[in-house]
Amino acid sequence: MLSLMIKDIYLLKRTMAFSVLYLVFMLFVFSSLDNAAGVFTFCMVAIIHMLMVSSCALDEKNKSDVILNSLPLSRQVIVGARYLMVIIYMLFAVAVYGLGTWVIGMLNMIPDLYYITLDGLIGAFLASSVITGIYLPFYFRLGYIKSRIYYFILFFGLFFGINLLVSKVITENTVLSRMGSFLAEQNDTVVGIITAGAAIAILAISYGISLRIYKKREF
Amino acid sequence: MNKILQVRNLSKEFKGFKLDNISFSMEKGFIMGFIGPNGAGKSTTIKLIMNLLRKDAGEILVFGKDHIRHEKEIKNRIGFVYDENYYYEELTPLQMKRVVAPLYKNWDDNTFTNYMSRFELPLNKQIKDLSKGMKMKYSLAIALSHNADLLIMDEPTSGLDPIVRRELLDILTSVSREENKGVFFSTHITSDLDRVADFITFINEGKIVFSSAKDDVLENYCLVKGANGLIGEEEKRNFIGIRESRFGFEGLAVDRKKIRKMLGESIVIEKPTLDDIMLYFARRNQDA
Repeated sequence: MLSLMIKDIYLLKRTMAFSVLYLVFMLFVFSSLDNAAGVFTFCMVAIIHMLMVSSCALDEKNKSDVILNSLPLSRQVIVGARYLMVIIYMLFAVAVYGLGTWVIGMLNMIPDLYYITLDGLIGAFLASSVITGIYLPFYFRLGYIKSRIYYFILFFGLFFGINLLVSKVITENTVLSRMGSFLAEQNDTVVGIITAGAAIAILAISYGISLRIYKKREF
Repeated sequence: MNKILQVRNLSKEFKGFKLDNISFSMEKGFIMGFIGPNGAGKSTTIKLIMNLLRKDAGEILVFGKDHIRHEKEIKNRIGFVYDENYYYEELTPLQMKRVVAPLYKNWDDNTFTNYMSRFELPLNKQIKDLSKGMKMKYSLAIALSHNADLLIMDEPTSGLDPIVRRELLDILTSVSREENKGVFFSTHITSDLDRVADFITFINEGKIVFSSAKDDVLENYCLVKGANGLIGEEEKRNFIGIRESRFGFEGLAVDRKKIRKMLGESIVIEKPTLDDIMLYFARRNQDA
């Protein structure tokens, strides 16, 4: 598993360097927005997703499934490494964000910068898990090129669906609204644990689906 | 029992192609050439052995063990070279080695370094910048650096110049003879096998035509040449395939004594090449 993770880091060196510039760009573009925590989450998700998708694109370009499945590696490990990389990308994104905001803050270039908090981190982890959790089963089923089309349809469907869910269903559905009220009554630690648990659960379910799909794939 | 590869009643069906109940086996210390025209089922068979495709029916045993149940253990002992480079083109040979080496239990860095210098391969140039021959040699260096007992190669010589091809064949011979490893080697360039193969398995249209020692194959079949008037429809039935021109006929047959008795001394009987055998079998199927 470590080998596959090292491979991704070798492959993504340039993309990682580019993501630093991308982050600075995003911080400046979104500096006028009031929702600084939202900007942080967006930056995290954008960097993590960019790295994930770039890695998948390079794998597809190199038809790497043939090599990976010819090496003494189980399909569990091949799929698992992709999911574990989400954590690595997250650590990298946090480091880049932390460094970026520190430098920009020192130079006083953007007022009201959002500095990393534990709540923000857990929120970004959940958002990244949702995005990755949806993307990877599509990738393992269809490959990079085809998965993009379905993924975009689903992603935007989900995006607008969540708005609909929040505006209509949650307010009308007693179970969901009770769940919302329950969370609102909890202290930050409990909410944090539940959020992190949900993120891990999403990744675990997604991994199960991806593995089931990948075990049936032929190359 | 020294059988390192056994394929039994293996079947796989795609739209428009069927690998039909094929069986063959090979032993340690020998080179088996897996020949057949393009689209005969060579790559499909190799992909099935490597579990890159899922079989519909049959059994594949590598080192006497089921190739799926003991997949990781088996792949630790297999070296593979495919018809094109599948290693990450953006990485250097050294980086790729760092990814691959920890995956093999018996990786030998000294062997790898020796092959890299023997093949004059650069360690720090991106793989995409290597020539086709260099990429193939790199795949071979990886395949030979973890003490594999079986090398599986799918058309490794296709697209290579004669010098690199010859070099590859020499290495395969020494690996098989001196290190007692098995080499399963698919190709449609049969002249490669004339020099190095011990056994030949011939596949055509998804079916095994024969799987025997190369010398037996070349001994059993005969190439018959003669004047046009010598053969009629009755005689033609004794040939696997026949080619007629205004200068005479040439055909492939099995029983040279029977042919000699039937057509007398006015014909010439020669030892066929593997190319001749493949050609006439393929033509027979096209004509049928």
